Formats: sequence, structure tokens, C-alpha cells
Amino acid sequence: MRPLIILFLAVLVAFLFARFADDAPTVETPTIDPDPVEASDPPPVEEEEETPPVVEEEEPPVPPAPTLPSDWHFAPGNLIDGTSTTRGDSGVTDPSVVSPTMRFPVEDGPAFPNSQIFGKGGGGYASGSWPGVAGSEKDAENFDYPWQDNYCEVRFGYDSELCPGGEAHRGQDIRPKTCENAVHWAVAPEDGHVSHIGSISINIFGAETGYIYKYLHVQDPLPAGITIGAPVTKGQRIARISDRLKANSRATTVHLHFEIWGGAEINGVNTGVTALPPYSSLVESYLDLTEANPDQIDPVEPPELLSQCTEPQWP
Amino acid sequence: MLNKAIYRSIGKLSIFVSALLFMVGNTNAQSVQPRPVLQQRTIDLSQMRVAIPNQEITPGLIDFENVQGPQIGVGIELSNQYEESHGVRFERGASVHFCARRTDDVMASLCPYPQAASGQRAAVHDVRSGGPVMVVTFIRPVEALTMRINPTGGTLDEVFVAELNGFDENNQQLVNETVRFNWFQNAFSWPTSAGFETDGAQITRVTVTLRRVAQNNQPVRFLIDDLSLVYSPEVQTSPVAVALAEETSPPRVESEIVQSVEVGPAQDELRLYPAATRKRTVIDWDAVDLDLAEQDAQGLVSASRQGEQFIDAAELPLLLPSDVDADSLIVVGNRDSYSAHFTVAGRAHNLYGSRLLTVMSPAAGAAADATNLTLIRSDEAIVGSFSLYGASYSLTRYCVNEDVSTDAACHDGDAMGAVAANLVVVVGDAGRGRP
Repeated sequence: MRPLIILFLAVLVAFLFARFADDAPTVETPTIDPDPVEASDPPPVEEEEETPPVVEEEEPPVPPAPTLPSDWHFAPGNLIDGTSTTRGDSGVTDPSVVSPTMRFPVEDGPAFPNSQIFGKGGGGYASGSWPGVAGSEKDAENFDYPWQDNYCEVRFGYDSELCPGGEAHRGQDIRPKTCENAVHWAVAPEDGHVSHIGSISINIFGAETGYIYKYLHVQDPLPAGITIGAPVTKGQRIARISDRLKANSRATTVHLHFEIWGGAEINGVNTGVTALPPYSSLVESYLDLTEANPDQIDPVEPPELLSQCTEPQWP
Repeated sequence: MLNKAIYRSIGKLSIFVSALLFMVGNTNAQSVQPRPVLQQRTIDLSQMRVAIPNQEITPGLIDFENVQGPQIGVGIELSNQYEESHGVRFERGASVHFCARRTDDVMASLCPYPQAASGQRAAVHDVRSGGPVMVVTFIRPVEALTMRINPTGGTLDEVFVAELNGFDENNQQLVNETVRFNWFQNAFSWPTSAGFETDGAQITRVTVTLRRVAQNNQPVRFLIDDLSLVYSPEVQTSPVAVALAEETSPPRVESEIVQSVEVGPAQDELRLYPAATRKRTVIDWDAVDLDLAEQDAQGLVSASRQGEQFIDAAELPLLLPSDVDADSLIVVGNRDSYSAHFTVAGRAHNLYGSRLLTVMSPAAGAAADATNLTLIRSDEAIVGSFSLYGASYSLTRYCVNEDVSTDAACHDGDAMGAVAANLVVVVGDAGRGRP
């Protein structure tokens, strides 16, 4: 009898052992918190070893550098329809770059050469004879591509030998990145000297080209050292771009009026000194600027309110 | 202190001074002028030429028939169409339109008549684009003219008044003529003429206005046709104008080109547009020497004390003031160009000169026949641009606060001429090498 009892107990123990062994996978085990709260919990070594391949898979691709849109500028001489002095849409279509090595005259991009008076908020010309466009100065359209030439735009009384009708706008209007007043910088287009400073203007004599570059609608205070006769270097800050039409009148929108003056031969004749078409030079110099600074290409959000195009508070 | 020396060689600077007076006087057309007693006679229409439709060119008659050029809206730009053939220039955007009655609304609204006064075309002055006044400039002065005139619409028997004012080259008003008429549409031969006749006056500018009486004499858009001219029998042009005609034809530069100057990178390095051609002109050093000798004899010297290193480096004659505070004169420059800043009577001035010429193609319709003096006006300054000794120069006179609206005198030709009269020619070390 005793051997039978021993055998029975042995079988029972074996059965029970086998039973527990079968149940083992079903036992609930605690989950591993992948992001443990306890700072003292050291991450498993195995996880550290597995991290690199996971990171490689999840890393977002590097976005391509911004590039100028394919249609970022209209051709030289292509004015807004009906805005020339003769109500045409053509200015000087000769694309020759009069100042090929010029630095773009606004320090930072993006910047937008286009019509000030025929852009939104510009008001048009001649008491509505050349009507403006409804909208506000701060409208995003004013601060976006494409660029458009406005040398030869209608201006009576401003004599011009190169433009249809003989009287016209002799420079290019350039809007800086935003409509904020007196915060964007105009810079010297080449090494040279300051040849004139007025209440809203500054001129640079270019030592390389011998041109006079004229900047209008700039505002005090000028940077230290910017005085008549002072030397400047290419790209040096020379004045802040503003909405000054007169010395104490904020009668225009924030923009830089830019001109290039030099001796000219027109139809084989020495016609004296005149304002040369600046648009092509601006195109080339902007390519230089944005090639070096592709982060300065894309337009930025304009201020929400027109009142935000305001005066800075000078210290 | 008038330095005649620098004028003597080719006389252009004196012309510049005089021309400034002359041209600025003209530009101040709207300034207050005492009106003289008007001298007018009854208009003798038999003296006028009769329009012959489609004739190529009739001296003294402008019928607006054979015109070609840039479009203005649905019309053709008129500005200088008759400048060469008739010595007449139309300002302020006047245009020529097809005038036979058309079926489409646009044309009918511009010219609602069965035909033009002659032929098929007439000129339109649109007050919405050109302002209330049509301005016609006569490069060759006239003593009399007539024109057919009509509004571009109205009501039967409505009263219109046409007004013509005539001015001489000194901006003196010599003519004021009005014509009052009743309108009707179905006029195959436009019934109304306006015009004037004088005793040999030299009329160089005429303004034309058409007003609608029933609407507070409001200026309205109008048409003219068959502009008939009687040129002054003896063109007694002022000495200034004679000088301009004889001396201010700008020198052609082809023969003066000694080299093309490479500026900036080669063309193939440019990504979009080619570099402009720049040319270095020949300086007429003989003329410079003559002026130098004469001004030396008079003891005239430049006020320059600053920037002498730039003067010595310049290979062109520099024009500089002789009568300003030397401390106020600041000169900067390079081999081929210079800029001088100085102050006269509280106003900033700038003299700029260059022997580098940038070759440009003007836009279609631009003033290709530019004279040797160009006055360039703006809200902030007035610029006189001219060529002398083969180089190009400009004299800029800035308004106080760069605001002509509060400093109208800054555009005054007398003052600018006085500044030009005190210029002397200066040659530095490099220039004495006669490059």
C-alpha cells in the first residue's frame, strides 16, 4: 500500500507541476513604461542601442532651400497697364544692366519693387485721373512677388528723356519686407562716398562706377558717421526706409525710391546727365542677395492692423 | 562775378544760364503774371487753310488723319505726331480717334457724330486723364489759329463755351478767346470753330478748354479737328532761343569714343540681362585750356579746399563754384566722375560730372531729339543737365527741406543761373596729363 501512495503523490506532484508550467504564459506581467517618470530609472542599455535606427527612420527630411518663384518679376519696362504718362504699359524695355555689380539697396530681403501709387493704398495719380486701387498699404499684394517696373510711370513735370511722353517717374519704388516704418535699412550699393543728405534723401557717389545713387523717403536718425563726404562701403547701412514724403509729412507709404544717375548716350548723342533705368540692376542684385541668403526670399505675414505700420520709438 | 571764360569756348554754359532762365520761365506757366492788354482782331477764316481729307501733310494744317503710334486706350497717342512736320506738340495725353459714327458703344461715346469735321479722325482731350485744359505747344510760333471743336456728347441746344488762351515764350498771355455755341448731334460738318488772330504775336503755347454751362461750367471731354495755323511771318525768336537752336544741339559722341569701358562682370556671368555699354568720351582739352587761360587772367579760382585728392585723380575738367565758402565745398570722385556739394543762399547744391556715358535705348515715343540742356524738376529739387567739353554735367539745386511747395523759389531760374555763372573749370594733376 505505501508504494502506491508514494506513486500517487509523485504523479500528483508531476501533474501539478505540469499544470503550473502550462499556465505560466498566461500570467499577467507589468508593462514597461517607454517614458518612465522616475528619473532614477536608467534606460535599459538595449534601448540605447536600438535608438539610432529608430531616429533615422523618423527624422523629417531637410526642406529644400527657398528659391525665387519662376515668375518672380516682370520684364524691364513692363508697367501696370495704363500707368505710363501716355497711358500705356511700356517703359524702357532695354534690359541693359546699368550697374552690374551693384548691391541691392535694401539690406534684407524679401523686398518688392513695384508701383507705390498704383499699389493698394497708393491712391493713384493726378486727383484720380489715374485712379488708384482700393485696399490698404499693408495689403499682402504689396509685399509679394512678382516685381514690376515703375520707371516711366506717370509723373507730370518730371522731365525724362528716356520715357514715352517726356515726363515720368525716374526711379523705382521698392517696398521693404513689411510696412513697418523706419525699421528697414537702406544700404550703400557700392563703395563710395555720401554726396548729399537731405531731409528725406541721401545720395551715394559710387567709387567704382561713378554713378550717383539717389535714395528718397528715408528718415532720421542716420547711422553714426553718415555725413556728406563720408566714405561708405558696399552694403553699409546708410538710412532707414520710411513713409516720409516731405520732411515732416508721412504722406506716402513705406517704400524706398531708388534712382541711378549718370552720363548718358541716347541715340548716339551725349545728352548730359540723366536718371538711368534701375530695374534690371535691381533684378541682378536681388539674385545676388537671395542666392547668398535664401531665407530672405519668402514673403512674410503683413501686420494684422494698418496701425501696426507705425513709428518706432527711438531711445 | 561772372566768369565769361568758361563760356567762351563753345558758349554752351552761357546758354545753359540763359536757357535756365528761359526754360524755367516757361515751366512756371501757371505762375502769376500780369495780363497785358489783349491784342486781337476778328478772325478771318479765309486766311485759314481748308482741310483736305487724307492728304499726307499740309503745311499749316493738322487734320489728324494720317497718324500712327502707340495706343492710348482705343486711340493713338498724339503728343509728338506733328512735332517734326508742323512744329506742334500736344501735351497731357491727347489722342486721335476714329470718328465716323461707329456701332460699338466705346467709339460712339468718344465721337458721336456721323463723321469728323474732315476725314475720319479727330483728336480727343479727356479731362479725366489730361485735366481740364488741353495744352498745345508751338515750337514754331504762330500768330493765328482756328480749330473745329465739339464735345463728345450733350443734349439738344445745350450751351457750351470753348476758351482758348495763348502765351508767348515768356509765358505772357496774349490771347483770351471764348466761343459760345449750342450743341446738336447730327452735324455732318462741325459747326463750331474757335481760334484767334494777333498782330504778329509769337504764340508758343495755347490752352483749350470746353465747359458745360448748364453744369456750373464744368470742363468736359472734347474733340478738335482741322487745326489750322498761321505761322508768324518773321520768327523773331529770342536770342536765347536762337542760341539754343544753334548751339545746344547736343554733340554726337561716336567720333569721340576712344574706348569702351568694361564695367562689372562679363556678360556671360550675368544670369538674366546683359550689362549696359559704357563709353569714355574724348575731352576737348583745347577748349578747356582756353577757358582756363581766360579765367586765370581774371583771377578766378575755385573755392575748393577739400577733396583735392579727388580733383587731382580726375581725368576730366571739373566745374566748381568760385564764390562759396570753401569749407562748405565737399568734392568726391574717381578717375572719370566727380560730385561736389556746396551751399548757396541756404540751399544745398550738387555738381556732378562724368566722362563715362551709359548707352541707353529710349522707350518708344520718348523725346529722342533732346537738346543739350534738360531741366529736370521734382518736388525736392531742380536739375540742369548739359554736356560741355565732351563730358556730361548736372547742377542740382535742392529746395529747403526738399519741398518745393514751401520753397517755390528753389525752382527760380535766376537763382540757378547765378550759381551757374559763378562756376569755374578746374583741372587736377591727372587732367593736366591730357588723357
